Amino acid sequence: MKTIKKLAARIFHAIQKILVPLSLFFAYFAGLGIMRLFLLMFPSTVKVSPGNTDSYWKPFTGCSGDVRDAKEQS
Amino acid sequence: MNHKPNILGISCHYHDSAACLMMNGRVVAAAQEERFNRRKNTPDFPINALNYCLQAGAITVNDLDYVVFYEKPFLKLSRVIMGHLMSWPASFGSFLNSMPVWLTDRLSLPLAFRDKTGYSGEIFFIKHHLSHAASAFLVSSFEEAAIMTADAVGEWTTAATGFGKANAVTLDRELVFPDSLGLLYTAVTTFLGFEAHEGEGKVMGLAGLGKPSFSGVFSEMAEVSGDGSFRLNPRFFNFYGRDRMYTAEFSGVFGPCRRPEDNIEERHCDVAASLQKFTEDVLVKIAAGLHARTGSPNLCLAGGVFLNCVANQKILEKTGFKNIFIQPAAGDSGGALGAAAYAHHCILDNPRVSVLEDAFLGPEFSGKHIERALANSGTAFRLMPDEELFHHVAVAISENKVVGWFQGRMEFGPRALGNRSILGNPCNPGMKKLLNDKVKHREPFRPYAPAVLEESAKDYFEMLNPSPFMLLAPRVREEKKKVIPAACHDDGTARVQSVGKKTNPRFWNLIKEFEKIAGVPLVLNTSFNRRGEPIVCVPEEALKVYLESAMDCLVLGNYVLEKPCKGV
Repeated sequence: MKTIKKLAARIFHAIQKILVPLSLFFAYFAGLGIMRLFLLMFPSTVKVSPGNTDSYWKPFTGCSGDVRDAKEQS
Repeated sequence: MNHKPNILGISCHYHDSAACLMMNGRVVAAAQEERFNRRKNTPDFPINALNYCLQAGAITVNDLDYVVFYEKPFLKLSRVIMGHLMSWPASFGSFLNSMPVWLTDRLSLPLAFRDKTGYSGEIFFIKHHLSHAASAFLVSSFEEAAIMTADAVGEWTTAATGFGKANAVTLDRELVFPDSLGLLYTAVTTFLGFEAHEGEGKVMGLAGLGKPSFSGVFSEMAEVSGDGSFRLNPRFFNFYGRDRMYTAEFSGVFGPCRRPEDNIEERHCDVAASLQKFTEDVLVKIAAGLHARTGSPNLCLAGGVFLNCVANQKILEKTGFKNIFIQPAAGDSGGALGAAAYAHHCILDNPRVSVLEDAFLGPEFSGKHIERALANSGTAFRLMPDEELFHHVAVAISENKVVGWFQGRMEFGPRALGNRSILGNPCNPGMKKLLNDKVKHREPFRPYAPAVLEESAKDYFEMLNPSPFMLLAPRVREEKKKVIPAACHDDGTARVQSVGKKTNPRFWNLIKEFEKIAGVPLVLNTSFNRRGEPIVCVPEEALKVYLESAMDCLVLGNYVLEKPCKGV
């Protein structure tokens, strides 16, 4: 039992120390990298408001005091 | 629906973690976690602050009806991912550092909260700037007021304006990331060699020594429209950069950055002064527009940017607002209060019943506790009745002694307002150096603030509004500058705290006694801590600072400790 527990702990440790950074590495360079390349190749897909506008204010949403909205994390 | 709910507000995971308990619409307790875990500006889950709040309210976690978090985590994550994407590949280090924390703590707040506390009720999430707005308006004395918030960044919002009436808070406009006054201020703060989230106040102090000769550069860095809204020029900033928030082009216009140990040059003061002027100009423009739009004489301010008392003063002087309320914990710690207040008044639709008149919402300690701490330390002390105590301490201050003053409930927010304070003589021109040499060890350019009797404040300072939370910086009257040289900053202003007899009678009595002896109705008031440490919370910590520094006298409640050495 002890050996199994030790083995499980080692596997968990390996996941934590190796797999998590590794998957973050791939998420960053493959996931975000591809998106970045896409944005660079097709800049028109990014909505950019023109410079020298009269105002940079945007409408604020989400202050209705609604219970359902307050339960949402997004 | 329970109309006498117990609501706990929480802010954490970034900086200045805090908890706040509202019972039946009254703020019963609030405190920052840093005071308990002793790590300044800690982002840790505020388990100690939470426990304290429950204890102060004499309830358990099972008596809580709602727990309210001060922002929406998923919305924030979308901004963080977008930020990393736009700064790819320079943001890799920042991505690798932040993502594990997101995956473990930030996205599983309800689970973590229930796991850590055993709570099983409802959890609400309020937008970051809405929490700020609620924290300012809902506890103010105004029936209606314009509201303005500004900080580094919440989810996406960096500043917002709106209106509050009765128990409703409405924000209608926002500026969004990366266009942020707070981030701009922090970027320049780090360029000047000070720590982010800690050194902004130092830059504000440094600004008083310089000239705004770089104003033109700031106009290039940010395009400001007529209504005060602005867009930062991305050529100068990289908020997801590897090790700094600004680009090479930024350094190109200001010269090399200052390292923390470097001397402060005239150029650094001028950069700070230019940044401060830019900040003031933008805030004044936004506030003036807001006044024109709402027509209200009242303004409520919250968000870390409004810890900038010099800018707050300019808003009061240069816009049409007559009355300003700035929440004492204007930074993120105050979000805990705002989240709880928003849930109580705006979501549960309860009327407003109380006003936040003072910031004394933290723990207090009995005479027995203090006596035990003193007995454990083996230090000699004297117990004095109130009248003798006030006279004795006032004499000590007038003799230029540095006095630790520990009384009643701890303050909520970053300022010591007379319950966890170190006091000094404002009439002695050498007092700043004395305070620095003996206890505080601060940068020599930073001023010390005066705590003045509310009724005498106008005689010494060009006050337009009371300043109970030390968040306004009026000019010192010309004829008084020589009378209180230690309280006057190089630019002729002072970060004033007006002390009311009703809100803090013991501190008021002490200053009144000092007035009888020295002829001036004010003392120097600085926070009871050493450089880099949070303000003391318990008597044992106050005692430690006293014993390990050259502080001359310590007052814990009515217990007085004195060292034999004399002040200068």
